[in-house]
Amino acid sequence: MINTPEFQGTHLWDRLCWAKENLEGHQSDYRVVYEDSVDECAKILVPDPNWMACALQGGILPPVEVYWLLAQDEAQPDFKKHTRGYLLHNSKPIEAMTEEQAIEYLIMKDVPQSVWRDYDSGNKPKMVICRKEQLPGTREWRNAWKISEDIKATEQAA
Amino acid sequence: MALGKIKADTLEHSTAGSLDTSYVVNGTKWRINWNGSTNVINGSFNNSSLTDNGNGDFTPAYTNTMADKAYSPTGQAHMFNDAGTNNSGTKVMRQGGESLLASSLRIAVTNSSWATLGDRVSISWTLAGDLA
Repeated sequence: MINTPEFQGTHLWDRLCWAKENLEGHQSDYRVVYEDSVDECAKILVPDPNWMACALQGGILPPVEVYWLLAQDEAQPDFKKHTRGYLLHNSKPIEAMTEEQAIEYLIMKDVPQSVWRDYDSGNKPKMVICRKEQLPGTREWRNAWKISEDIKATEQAA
Repeated sequence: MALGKIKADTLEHSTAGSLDTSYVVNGTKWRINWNGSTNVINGSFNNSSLTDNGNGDFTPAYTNTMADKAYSPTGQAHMFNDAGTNNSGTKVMRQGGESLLASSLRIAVTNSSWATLGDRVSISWTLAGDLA
């Protein structure tokens, strides 16, 4: 396995360029199914293979908290431009993750916090992690897909 | 990729002229190609995930956040869906009203009348702009 250079202080973009040239993409079988509105169908998050390779390699991606801080800045009504982008580049990169840890990181980055903060507090889970084989085989009635009423958040995916 | 740093304002070719590196700085910062029927990502850069919001409704997210919401996304989609149906006149558009997000882009794929969202076997988007 190739060693990751010391990337703290290197622009995240440059790290991604390095990863693209040195790492094989990893197609994950995991999918994150979540509902963030009662009026909409279930959404399905698919990890990007190049991003997953970075997560498994370690030393490339910033801590997920950095994205939360940038999101807070962007949510301000007078937001024009990010002024704390350096957090992406100067924060100590996170160590190598397992695929399962990477999925948890990705949930906290790309799924709305209103979903994952209390995903299991209602009558049914608002979010479940599954394998792609557990999704319907065809996209028929895709806009009617919902998380099953019977599912338990702690059920094993496989 | 070497990790050394080269600073230059201009790239000069031996015969074909020169290029100001600001064009590179402001060039393509993100790309993704995926199958909208299977959600398999075939190629990408600076992308962390793809969310399938429903038929013809997708949200890719960036790994390196954009500096602002004034960037320029561009996309296209193949006219065939997974069943082999020819949807001549397929259109793509970004969603979200007038304001983009610096962290992701919501995309719609529609039929020729803009009325019906639908999946296609190949959808591609790129983005030019400034990185955070």
